[in-house]
Amino acid sequence: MLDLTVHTPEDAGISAVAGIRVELMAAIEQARRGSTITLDLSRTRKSDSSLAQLIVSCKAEAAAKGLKLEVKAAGEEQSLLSMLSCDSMGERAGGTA
Amino acid sequence: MNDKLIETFLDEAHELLDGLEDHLLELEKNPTDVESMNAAFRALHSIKGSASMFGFDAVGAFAHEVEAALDHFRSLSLPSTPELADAVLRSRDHIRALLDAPETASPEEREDLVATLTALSGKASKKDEGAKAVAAPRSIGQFTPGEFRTYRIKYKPSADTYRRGVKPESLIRELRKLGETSIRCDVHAVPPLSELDPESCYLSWTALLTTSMDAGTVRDVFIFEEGTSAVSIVELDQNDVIDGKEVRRLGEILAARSMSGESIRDALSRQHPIGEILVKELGASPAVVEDAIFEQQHAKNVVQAAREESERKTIRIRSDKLDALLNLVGELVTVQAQLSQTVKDSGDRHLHGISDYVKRLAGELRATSMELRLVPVESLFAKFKRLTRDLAKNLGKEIELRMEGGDTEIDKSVIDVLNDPLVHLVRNAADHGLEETAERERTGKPRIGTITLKAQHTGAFVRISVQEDGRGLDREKILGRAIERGIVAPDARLLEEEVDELIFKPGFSTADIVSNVSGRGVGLDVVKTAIDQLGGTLTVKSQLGKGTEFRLDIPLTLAIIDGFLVRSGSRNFVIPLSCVDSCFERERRNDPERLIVRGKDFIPYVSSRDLFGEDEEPPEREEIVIVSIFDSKLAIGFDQVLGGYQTVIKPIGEIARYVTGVSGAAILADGGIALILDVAALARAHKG
Repeated sequence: MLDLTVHTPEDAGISAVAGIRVELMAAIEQARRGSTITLDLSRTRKSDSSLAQLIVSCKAEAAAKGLKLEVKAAGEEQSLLSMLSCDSMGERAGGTA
Repeated sequence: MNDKLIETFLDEAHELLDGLEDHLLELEKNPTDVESMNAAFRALHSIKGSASMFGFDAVGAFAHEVEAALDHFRSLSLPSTPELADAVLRSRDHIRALLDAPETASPEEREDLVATLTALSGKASKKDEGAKAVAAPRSIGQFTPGEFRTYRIKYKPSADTYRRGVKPESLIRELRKLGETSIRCDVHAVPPLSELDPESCYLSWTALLTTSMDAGTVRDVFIFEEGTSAVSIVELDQNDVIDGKEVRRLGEILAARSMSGESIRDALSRQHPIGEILVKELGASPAVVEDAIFEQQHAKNVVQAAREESERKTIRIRSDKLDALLNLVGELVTVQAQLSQTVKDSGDRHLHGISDYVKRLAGELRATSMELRLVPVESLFAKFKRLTRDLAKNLGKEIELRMEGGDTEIDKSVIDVLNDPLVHLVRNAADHGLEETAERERTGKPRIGTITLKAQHTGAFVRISVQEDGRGLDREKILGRAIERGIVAPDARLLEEEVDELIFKPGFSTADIVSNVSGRGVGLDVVKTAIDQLGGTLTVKSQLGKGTEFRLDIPLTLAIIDGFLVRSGSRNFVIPLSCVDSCFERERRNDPERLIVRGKDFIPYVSSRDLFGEDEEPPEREEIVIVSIFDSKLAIGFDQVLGGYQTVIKPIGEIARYVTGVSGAAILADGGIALILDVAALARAHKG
């Protein structure tokens, strides 16, 4: 089983998410069913909700393909809740005004 | 005007200026950060208002000019610029000078700043306009349902939000500042990666906000999103969720939302969560039930936060009053020890009970008064944001300051003394430790150099470290310089850490090797002396090409310690209890060894009689106390172990400089004197 790691850059904000997506897509392509893809945020100093959105999206893609996405965060500020500045995340529709 | 009121104003103004500095530094890093822009504006507005009220008219007038310039950027939703942040930072310094030493605040500087700010905002300063008042929200500790409102805010950023340079989470953070919030981010619309346009926003947020502010203020948070993103703000009927100061049950909330009483009673009669039954079996709308649960949880948070905050009210106390209190407690501890001794000698059982009670109360009083003096080290670290920013600017380097363990608490007197040594170390780190940006890139390092300030407790000490990811110490060159200066012999063979320690030697100037050795050592002997005088230690760890870390291990307090009382001859000694590892008794040896074996450890041994002289014939048996500090252990021989002893440290001033291993003195219950041992210095002097 091939486990793959994608490293995010120091600045993983909106200017970087397109590049990270390309790397994640490539890792998903390479990975076999049951493998784990690690998204390593330890080098990242700046992140925002666009990265959080990318992670949510990648988790969905990975799950659909029988893969697992693990996020290696360097600290609390790299949690999804922190990047999204929220206390909880909801899956249902209803956030629209 | 009452002096105390002015003092309070000055204290608060200094706090606001510190906060303003933080916000401006953040704004410099993130020019589009609405949150920081608004916070900086609020700080200036508060300074302006209170300065005018307390008769500091020059401060009020100048703050108004600065506020007007900032408001111009803010109201037009313009991002900050480095020039604006710099001008407002310099204005902040000018305000500080006007407050602390008006004679040093030159009118020319004021005019220059006003001209710069006016030019930057591109319009005349708003002298005749009252700036928009941004009242601060009331504390949730004053929560009463009638005076606070709860809003449900739904924010769905437009798809192009990121491309417009807006960070939606920043607006949510701004919202958080208005009161107690519960915030949920809905991610259901985010497609799988293969379908995702990463620069489009698919997220939406639902927030519940309980605040004293009106809907207009809440709407202002999203003012720049009007017309582009979907924002709805609805005031909720709090009586739906809160009854007085109690949170209603979910069933009551749903009943108020026209769900039939019969359905709710039916659901309540079963053993499953009511919401689950209502949705799965009785066809209730999941959205209605989820909203009710979300609102109920928010109400619980509000009530809980209000309780906690009202229980945690604070008052300002002058630090000299705390010092006086601690001195009195110190005297009380000494008298209490005398009382305990007298009562013990008298053999009176009734008095013994009272004496024990006094001892317990004195102990609790001591612990509480010590806690009063503890302040988070964050207050010290915060100053370094500006220093680092200014150093980076002057040196033309890119430097990020990281801070860890800011909530670590330490005695205020220690914090005051630590400032200068830390300034020295941070300056050295920025100036000499970190490479130029081009050099970093050449060697494959991130462009931005990092300086990390870290604090953590280690027993009765706090470890503060200044670490950078720069070039590291060049030991070959340090050794060469030390030989050249005659600090070490040319044929000396030193361990790596011994070479590193050379940079702390007096006279080890690196002025002429700054360009190629990292320049460590500029005045580091001064830093080391300051730390030694605190009873602490300064050490350095370095790796060539990777960086250097200076570690300052400082006693948590300089006033009272839990000690371990021992005696040799007629002399008494106190060892800080936190340093005592173990003790045992043995036959005294006429020719004692240099090392003793305990388990697998070889521990250096020294007799207190050898250290401090002897005035009586030694007893046949010897008490060995093994002390442990950081990574070192030392076995010290005494005549007698007397046990635990709470000790008020009395400084012995200059004498301590000439006696290795003594950091202070203590007055004992019988009026005698005990020397407090400086375990770190002893361990260093007898390192195996």
